Formats: sequence, structure tokens, C-alpha cells
Amino acid sequence: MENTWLLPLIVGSSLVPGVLIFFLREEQTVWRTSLNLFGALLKVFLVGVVLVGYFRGEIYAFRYELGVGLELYLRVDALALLFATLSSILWLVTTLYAIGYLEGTPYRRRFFGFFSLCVTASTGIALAGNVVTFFIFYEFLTLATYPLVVHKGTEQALQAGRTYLCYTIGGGTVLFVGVVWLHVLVGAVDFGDTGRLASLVEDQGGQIFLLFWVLILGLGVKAALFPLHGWLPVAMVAPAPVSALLHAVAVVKAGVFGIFRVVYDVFGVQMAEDLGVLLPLAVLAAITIIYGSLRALAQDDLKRRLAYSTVSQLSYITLGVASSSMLASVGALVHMVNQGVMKITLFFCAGIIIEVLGLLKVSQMAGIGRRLPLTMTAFTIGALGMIGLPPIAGFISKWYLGLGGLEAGHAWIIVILLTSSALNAAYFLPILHTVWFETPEEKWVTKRRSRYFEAPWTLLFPALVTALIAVVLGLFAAGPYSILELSKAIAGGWYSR
Amino acid sequence: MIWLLALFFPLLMAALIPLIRPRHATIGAMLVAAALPTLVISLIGQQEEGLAFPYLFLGTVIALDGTRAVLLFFTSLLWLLAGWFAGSYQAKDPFRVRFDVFFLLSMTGNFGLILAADIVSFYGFFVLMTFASFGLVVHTWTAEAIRAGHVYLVLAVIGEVLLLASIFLAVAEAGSILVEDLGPAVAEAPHRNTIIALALAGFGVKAGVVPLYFWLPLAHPVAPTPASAVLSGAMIKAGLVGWVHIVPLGIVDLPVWGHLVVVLGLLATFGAVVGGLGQTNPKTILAYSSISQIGLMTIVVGLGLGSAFAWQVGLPVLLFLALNHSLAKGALFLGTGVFVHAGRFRGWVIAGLAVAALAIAGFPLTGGAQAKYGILEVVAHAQGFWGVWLPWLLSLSSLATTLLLLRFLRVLYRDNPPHSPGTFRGEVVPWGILVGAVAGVPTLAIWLFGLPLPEMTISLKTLWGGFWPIGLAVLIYVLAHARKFWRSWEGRIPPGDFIVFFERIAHRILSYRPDRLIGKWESDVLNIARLADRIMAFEDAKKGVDKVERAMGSWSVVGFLFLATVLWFIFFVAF
Repeated sequence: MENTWLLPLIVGSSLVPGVLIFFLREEQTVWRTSLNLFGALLKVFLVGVVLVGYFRGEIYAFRYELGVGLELYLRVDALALLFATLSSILWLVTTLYAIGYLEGTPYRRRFFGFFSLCVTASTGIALAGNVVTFFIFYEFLTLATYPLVVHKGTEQALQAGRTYLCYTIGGGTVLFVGVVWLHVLVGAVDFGDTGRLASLVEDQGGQIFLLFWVLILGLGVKAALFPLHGWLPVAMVAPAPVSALLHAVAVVKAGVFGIFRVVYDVFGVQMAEDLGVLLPLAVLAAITIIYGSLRALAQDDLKRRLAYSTVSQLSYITLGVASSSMLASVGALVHMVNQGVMKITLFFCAGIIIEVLGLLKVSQMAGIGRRLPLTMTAFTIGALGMIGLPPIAGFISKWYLGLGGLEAGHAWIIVILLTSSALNAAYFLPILHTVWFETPEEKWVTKRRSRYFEAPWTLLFPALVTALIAVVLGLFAAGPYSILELSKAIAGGWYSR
Repeated sequence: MIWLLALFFPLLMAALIPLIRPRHATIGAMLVAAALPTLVISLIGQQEEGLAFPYLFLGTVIALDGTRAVLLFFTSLLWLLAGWFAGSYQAKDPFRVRFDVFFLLSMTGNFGLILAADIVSFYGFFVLMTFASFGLVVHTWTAEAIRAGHVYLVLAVIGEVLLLASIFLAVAEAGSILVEDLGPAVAEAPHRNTIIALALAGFGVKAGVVPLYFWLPLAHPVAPTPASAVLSGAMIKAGLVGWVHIVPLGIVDLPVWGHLVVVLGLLATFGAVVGGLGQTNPKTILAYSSISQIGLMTIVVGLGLGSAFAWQVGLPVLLFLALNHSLAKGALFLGTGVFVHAGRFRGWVIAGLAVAALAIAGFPLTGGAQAKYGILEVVAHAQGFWGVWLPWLLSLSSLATTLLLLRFLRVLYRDNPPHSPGTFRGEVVPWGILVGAVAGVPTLAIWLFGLPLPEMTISLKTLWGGFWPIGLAVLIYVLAHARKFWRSWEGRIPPGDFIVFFERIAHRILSYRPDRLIGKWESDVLNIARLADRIMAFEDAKKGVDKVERAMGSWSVVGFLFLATVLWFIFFVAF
């Protein structure tokens, strides 16, 4: 028996609060906060229900005819669950963080309204069962994020918003071309249904080859592939919770998730390999990895440095997708989660530093480990994880990506990964050095006080929780029901097709 | 399960100390309590079978076989005594808690990497130890400490990258993460030479082999004395453990690698003495001596690499060398801390230091003599080329080591004139125990762990063989001293010797700010924000065709591609 109502409810659990928030008055803080948290908790709960149900063999799907041959199709597979779980949990912590972060600032109604819509779009992307549905939510995400990026309303923010729109609308248009082209070739494509496209390869190989690149070009903007990554470092002017969400689950992950779907569920790994598109994609990802790290080195603004780090880290995932090896796919899937958890921790901490001490630049942060010990501990965990040091989650990703590279016979992937690790060390370790060991030059000005902790608990707890998750994901990587095990099951499915 | 206590106690203390911030006497006790369970476990917990934790990490396995028990025994003994020493030595340090946390984390890493029987956990503990000991190196936060910390970190990261590459390749070859499966797989691997080279270099950073030793004479001395002792005594051996895990020792004969590694070992053995004799800081001299002694251990590894047969004797000899050096070098480092306050007891301290120095140099009836005899036996098993030369070179190394350690004693004595009548401080007890251990424990350990060392008969010949290089060295030292040779040589070599050139090169390269060059390139060439402005300007272009044309003319690559894609699409739909 198919369950048809649970998936729309999951999407609705953030859509409805989002819409309702627009109807509230600005000063109705309690209502707004309750709605937000209720929605976030409900979503986590519902995703949990589906997770359990899925492993018991239940089927969840929802279809709605939009027009002739166009269907809104939501359904659950293991990859969708992985992404939905990630985004619902991280949304919950980010909501808490955002409530604390924006306390007492104007335009919170607008902010939280779009914030919820943004997560709705992410969930929709996760649960999308066919290309059209994916595309609809993908574009919805673009539009819902824009008001968040420009939220501060400063000249710099507006400029960043403009850049963001140029890139994403441009990418969206290219993706649209790709989606229509795909429809013209084979009609509506459900994810996982690679057979029809495969049957065309013999006659129209050239066209399908081009189609692949059009789709990747469209998705590559959000996935921040070089040279389409420029919007990401600019968009970091957004408030910290937005950056956190943007860099961890929402926008960038939508691009990467799309690449997963295109390579494995539209083309199929076998066909992609036969077309010879995976190696160039891997090379492009490798270039992005090194390039992003090199750029991160030069940044003194902490959030900018983190943004370039995201550019680099995201391409680990793309590299894994394109390595044409099962272990590398496992690495890519695991890193989709791990990178999200670690990067959200780092942005949470960067936000705390901004909110509590008003410091933006790494060079101003001498000795702040003494003022914000817990925050900087969380930051340290995130940073060391990004370098890929065990036992933090990042190591698990690196381990599988590296072994996968070797399995596929691409020893150069090891070189890329390790060079990137060294570069990560080169831009993260100096931060740790500065905050823990150096002595502060002047007294800090405390912008926000907290009675019990070093920072308001709504800001501190989310950072600590995600840091803890990052450690648990690494330390118990091989445990039962772990992300690693789920990823292995997903990748196994792709390669047995 | 009791093996886990070895890891649990240091971690527990690392968490407790910053929380309860105890008085310094209690801290000393806590540091001892952190290492004591491990020492006990190393003595009673030996067992052939490993213990698996399939859910932990990527499937952690820990084990405590005979080899590991010996390693764990001397490592934990040294950590225990150094912790005891630190409790008193660091009593007045305002950042004592930070020191203790890094000390305990390094300890956890060091114990863990010995116990780990899967390479991933091994790597994890290795990393923990490497990065936690950075906190020990920079602890005093002087200019030298900061510089040493930087050099340490750069080389540590390079080492980390190289050794992880070797681990990747080895695991991909073996299809297993168990340490015992790696050696045989590497022996058969098509990339065998790459794996061996990466492992030798990656772990070589930690062990301080030529040419990756630069950080060691900088970092070991600047750390607070108890940390120097464990850095130079215990943690340095982690590199050897790594080699034994990955390099296919005792499985195949790789004569070319064998020769190469022996030569590297010899270079370290003698080169470090030359470097050390030019130093002015007693602790730096000790660090050079560590490089030299690790050189001897490298020679044993080299012989084992060249001949699998020789490794059968080589492994116990290597363990024994490591054990003897750990305790003796620990005693020497801790002794520098004791000596400063010794006052009128300075003579006694010098005597204790002399015992440790003689043990390293291989004076008859010390552990060093036993170790050296063992090396000769390995050489005999290895046969071939080295059989002729190595016995002589070993005697020569005894001579060189004696010179270096005499120099150490002299500089220490000269630079620390007695200020006060001397105070009896808590450090004396652990140091005294350690000196006692240097004298007695090596022989005890052979008996305790049944180390299959070659039987050494005590005859006039062997006694003389151990004695003459040392006696000759003393003679040379005194003669050279009379001619003021040492004074003229002192300070000629900067600590870390060649590092000075590398630092200069690195500064030169960094002064060009290559990162900024890329940044400039991005903002000039790849500036899509500017391109975005132009796309935005498209609206104005609607006003006139000429403007459209101009806008088209200025569109860069991305815009063109976009347009081309659209045209393609139209083309395909239409036809």
C-alpha cells in the first residue's frame, strides 16, 4: 500500500509555517518562533517516520498532474532520505540559531518567512521523483534564497544579491534548457529510470553527450564548480545563519544533489562512463578543489575564507561522483553529510564571533579562545575535520574518496586529496594558532552578553551540537544505521544497476 | 577490555584537569594515574588475540602482542615518570592546565598508536599525538618556540600527507585495514617502491631521519623539560612503529632499499654528531643525539629490509634499542631540569646523567652494550656488504656518541653555575627512578618479556669491545678541550642546521604572495561579478541596437556559451 500523504506533509511542514509567518505582524515574536520550531520539529519527526518506514519496505509516493506529461512527483529512495534527514536536522538547529542571532533586529518576519520557504525547497529537491519536480523546487530555492542573501539591505548585500541572482538564474536557464531537451528526447524521466536514455545512446550519442554537459553546466553554478563559483564568496555577506544553511544544506547541496541525480539516476553510471564524461568532470572537480583552497589561503575575512573552503570541499563530492568507483560514490555521499555538518559548525562559530565580539577578520582574533572556549572548541573540531583528520567525520569522506580513486585506477585523485588536505591545513591551522595561542592585543568589546554562558545559548548550543555530530559521525562511522552504511547501500544500488 | 583503560585514563584526566583545576600536587598524581594503568597492562595484559570494536571508527581493532607489550611498557614507564616530573616542574606555570591537557592528549595518542591493530586507528592516534604535541612544543611561547612550532607543523603536515598516501596505497592493495595484512600485500604490490618510499618519508618525519630531521633539534629542546623527555624518548619511536607496520619487513629481501636505508641511518648517526657538537644549548645537543640514535635504529630497519632473514633477529634488537634509548634519553632530558636546582648536589646529578649517557654510548654491562651486540648479530645475519664495514662503524658511532654526550655534560655544567645551596624538589624522585631504570630495566625487560636477543657472553673481548671506543672518546675529548677546540667549534652550526636555508627559500617564495597573485587573477580575468554588471547593463542596451551590439561585443565567454546552448537547443528541436 502506497502512502501518499506523508511526503506532501513533509514539504508542507515548512511551507505552511513559512506562509503563515508572512501573515503575522512583525512584533508577534512568540507566535513566529513557535511556528518555526513546531515546523522544524515536525519535519524531523516526519522524516524519522519515513526513514523507519522505508527500511521496513513501505512505499511513499505522491503524484500530481501539472499538465500533459508533466507530473509533480514526490517519492522516497535512499538518497532522498539521506538528503532529507540531513536538511531537516540541520534546519532545526539553524532555526534555533537564527532565532537567537536575529533577536531584536527588524524585518524578522520577512527573514523567517523566506527561511522556511528555502527549506521547503530543499526538502522538495530531496524528495523530487522526476526531473521536472526537481527543477521546479530547484528554481524555487533560487528565488526563496535571494531575500535572505540581501537581508541586511546594505549596498554590499544588494550587490551580492545581484551577483547571486545573475549566477543562479543563468544556471537555472541553462538547466531549463537541459530539462526541456531531455523531455524532447525521452519524455518525462523518473529518477532511476535510465533505460530509455540508454536506448538512444547508439543513435544519438553526440546529442546525449552534449545534454550531459548542459545539465552539469546548469547544476554547476550552485555546486560552485570552477569557474562558476564566484557567487559563493560574495554571498557570504548574508547573516551567519543564512551562510550556514547556504553552505551546508540549502543551495550548494542542491547543486551537488542534482549532480548525483543526473549522473546516477538519469544517465546511470555505466552510460556516463561509456560517454566518457566522468573523467573530464572529475578533472574539473579536482581543479576546483585546489583552486578553492588556494583562494581560501589569501582571505583574512573569516567568512570569506570559509566560503572558499566550501568551494573546495563541495568539489570533493563532485569528484567522488565522477570517479566511477563505488567506494568513491560512498565517499561522495558521506561527504555530502559530513561537509554539511562540519561547515555549518564553522559558520555558526563565525557568527558567534561576529555577534559576541564583533570580529570579522582572522587577524583580529588573537587569543579569543580564552574568551570563547566552547565556541572555539567547536570551531576547532570543524576545522580539523575539514582537514580530514581522524576521528572527525571529514576523515571518513577522505578515506573513501581516496580508496575509490585507487579502485578506479586514478592514483592522481590521492594526490589531489592530499594536496587539498595540506592546503586546508595551511588555511585552518593558522586560525587555530591565532585563537588559541596568541595573546590579544586589545580588550574585546562584548556586544552581546549572556548570563550563563560565553555566548547566548541559542547561538552556542547549535554549534556544540553540530560539532558533536561531526565527531560522532567519524568516531562511530562503522556503526549500525550509520550514514556510512546507508551510503554503502545507496552506492551499491547504483553500481548493480 | 582492560586494554581500553590504557586509553581511557589519559583521556579522563585530560577532561578532568581543566574542569576541576586541582592544586599542583594533585595534578602530579593525576598525571601519574593517567599512565599507571597502561604500565600495569603492558606487564600483565599480553595476549596473542586482538580485540575488535566493529562499530568504532572504521572497525577498530586493538591488540597487545609481545612486540606491542614491550613498546607499551617502556613508553608508559617514561610517560609516567615524565608526568610525575611535570607535576612538580610545572607547578608555577600559569598555563599549566593547557600544558597538562596537551600532555595527556599526546599520551593517549602515543599509547593508542601502539595498541592499534588496524591502520586507520593507528593513523588516528598518530595524528592525535602529532597535533597535541604541537601544544607542548610552543608552550613557552618564546620566539624560538613559535619558530620551532611553525617548522614542526609544516613538516608534520607534510609527513602526515605522505604517510596517509602510503596507507591509502597499502590498504587498496591489501583490501583490509588490519596491520598484519599490509606487509604481505605491500610485498606483492605493483607499486611496492612507491609505497615504501612514501612510508619511509612520511613516518621518517616523526623519527627524524635524514633528510627530514630539521624540526627535531628546534622543537624537542624548546618544549618544557618533561615534554622534551617524552618527545625525544617516546614519541619519536612512533615513526619506527609506522615503518614496521607498512614496510614489508621480514617478508621479502629488498637489497636496494636495504642499502639506501642503512646509508640514511649512517648519515644520521654521524651527521647528527657533527651537528650536535656545534650547539650551545644542552637540550639541543640531546636532540641531535636522538637523531643519531634513531640513525642506529634506522640501520637495523635497513638491514631487515635488505634481508628478511636478518629481520628475525632485527625486530627484538630494534625493540631493545628503542627501549634503552627511551629510558636513557628521558633521564638525560629530565636531568637537565633537575640539574638547574641541584646546588651542591650537582655532582650527584652529573653522576646520574653519566649513567644514562654511558647506557646510550654502549658502555660494557649497560643496555647499550647489549643493544650494540644485538646489532652486530643482525649484521651477521644480513651477510653481504655491510658485514665488513658495520662493526667498525658501530664502534665509531659509540665513540661519536660519547663525544657528543660529553659535550652535553660539559655545556650543561658550564652554563648552570650553582646559584643557591640547592633545593630538594619533587622532580628528583621521578628522575632518580628513571636513572635507576636505565641501569636495571633493560636487562629486566629481556627477562620479563622474553625478548629473544642474541645471547651475549661476558668475556674480556666483549668488555674491551664496548670499552675502547668510549675510553678513546674521553681521551680525544680531553685533548681537544685542552686545545680549546670545542670552544672554537661551538655555535658554528645553527640549531636545525640546514633548516635555515629552507626557511630562507620559503620566505622568498611567500614574499611574492602567490595566493594574492591568484586573487588578482580571479578579480581581473574571472570576475563574473563584473560580467554580471555587464549582463545587468543589458537593460540599457534595449534602448538602441548599437548598444545591443556593444553589449554583445563585450560579452565574455560564459555569455557566449549560454547563447550557443540556446541556439543548439533550437536547432535540435527544429530538426
